[in-house]
Amino acid sequence: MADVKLDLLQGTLDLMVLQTLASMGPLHGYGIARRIEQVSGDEILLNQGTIYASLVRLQQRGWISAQWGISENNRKAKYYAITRSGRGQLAKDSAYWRRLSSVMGRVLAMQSEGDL
Amino acid sequence: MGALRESWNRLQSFFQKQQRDAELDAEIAAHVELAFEENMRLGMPEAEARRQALIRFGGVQQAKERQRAARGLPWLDILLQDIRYTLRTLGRDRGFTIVAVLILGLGIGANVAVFSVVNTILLRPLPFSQPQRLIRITTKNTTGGESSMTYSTDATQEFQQRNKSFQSVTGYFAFTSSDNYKLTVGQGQPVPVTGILVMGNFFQTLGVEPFLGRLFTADECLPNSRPAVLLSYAFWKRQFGGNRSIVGQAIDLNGSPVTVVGVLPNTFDFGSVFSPGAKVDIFTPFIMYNFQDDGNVLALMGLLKSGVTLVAAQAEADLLFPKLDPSLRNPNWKGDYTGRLLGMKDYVTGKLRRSLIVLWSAVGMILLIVCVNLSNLLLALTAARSMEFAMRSALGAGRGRLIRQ
Repeated sequence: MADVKLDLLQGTLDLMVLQTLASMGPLHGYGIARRIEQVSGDEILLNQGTIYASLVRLQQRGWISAQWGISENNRKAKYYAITRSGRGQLAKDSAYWRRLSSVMGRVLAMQSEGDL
Repeated sequence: MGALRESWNRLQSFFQKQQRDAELDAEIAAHVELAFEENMRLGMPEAEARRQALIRFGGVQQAKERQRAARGLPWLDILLQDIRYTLRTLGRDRGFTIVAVLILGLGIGANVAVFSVVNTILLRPLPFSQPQRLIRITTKNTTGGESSMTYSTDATQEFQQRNKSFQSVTGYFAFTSSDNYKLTVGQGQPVPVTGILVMGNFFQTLGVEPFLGRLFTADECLPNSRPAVLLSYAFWKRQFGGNRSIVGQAIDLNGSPVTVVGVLPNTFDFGSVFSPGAKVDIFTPFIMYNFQDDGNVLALMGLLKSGVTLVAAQAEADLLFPKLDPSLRNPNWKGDYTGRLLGMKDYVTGKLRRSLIVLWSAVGMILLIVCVNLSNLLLALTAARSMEFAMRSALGAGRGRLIRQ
């Protein structure tokens, strides 16, 4: 059970990271985590540390690239940027998520009608 | 493409652990600092700002471990850890190691030894082209030893002509002693070699093709023909160093020159089929005419015609053998021949079969006992470590990992 949950979360987090980088441009790990927290409106309580597993995975698949840089307040930080193949993957994954969530929406709606 | 790149990257990470870990440490430190500074800007007191930053980050160690699992080859890391642990345990527990290795070695060794014998004798097919149609012909009464299992030259020729079951019938001179020839090379000392006389169609019947040269011709089996000899592969390698040009040359056997007409293949071992333990070096043609007055000298075998069953051939042999005339020139000789046909494989395996199977089962049992003993030892060890296991599983160790260790 725990494994299934974790898998879903991982996949979701990867997609969120890709989307964040696509819309915001290069960011460091903290920036990405903060951005996801803000957008989600505190609905998911993200352990910010988990983002690094996601980042290294995306990087190894060649969907994002990484480079050390200097942050706005003069601190050394690793900046991540989405690559061309990352954008392709993002398009594929987001289409999949949209389909899935619309199907889930319909299925759940049907169930509540049956209850009534 | 993506999967390939990922595997490659994972492999690289596996070999660059320290560098990657240092990078990750720096990255996490920067993350916490950034969070801390933002919290300070929001007006938190310094201690609270740092505390909040760490809380939001979550477990630093967990984050590192997850990142490592995602980037490297976790299963390989775990495997290496387990191997190191095993070696440490074995090194610490010398007594157990020695006992385990000894009894395992004993059990496996006995099995290997017996299996290699069983494989050669029972399982492997005979090294002939049509082993299932090859038949050994012996007399029914075998109490008289070798001489009561053989036939005269005239009886053999008569059987060859009159039978309808066999495609060909052949035989060899059954009364050969070892080292019955002397080979002289140049001016050196004579070397004793073992030769056997075989009928002209012997190798053709068995389906043995020469490795080099040719088999005997019909002419070479006639009286006063040019003497010829075939070499066994092992003898050719040993005595002539595998020299291919020996074929066609004459060698000095018992003081007279004999032409080497060919070399037999490595797969053909006369001894292993017809007389276990014997090592035959050379083969010379059996000239029927020269043995006409010598009584029963031939051990016979034949190749059944295809489609003829052993039962049908046996029925014909029961009719034919008592009628065979042992000698045309000695009409007072009594034949009283019988013929018992036996598949060549059964003949070779013969009496050994049952004892080999018993032996095989016995060593199988030994291996089983070895396994039982080892598992007992392991069980005892596990019982002794039950406290440790309980503690570790309470701390969250995986079941598979515990069993492996």
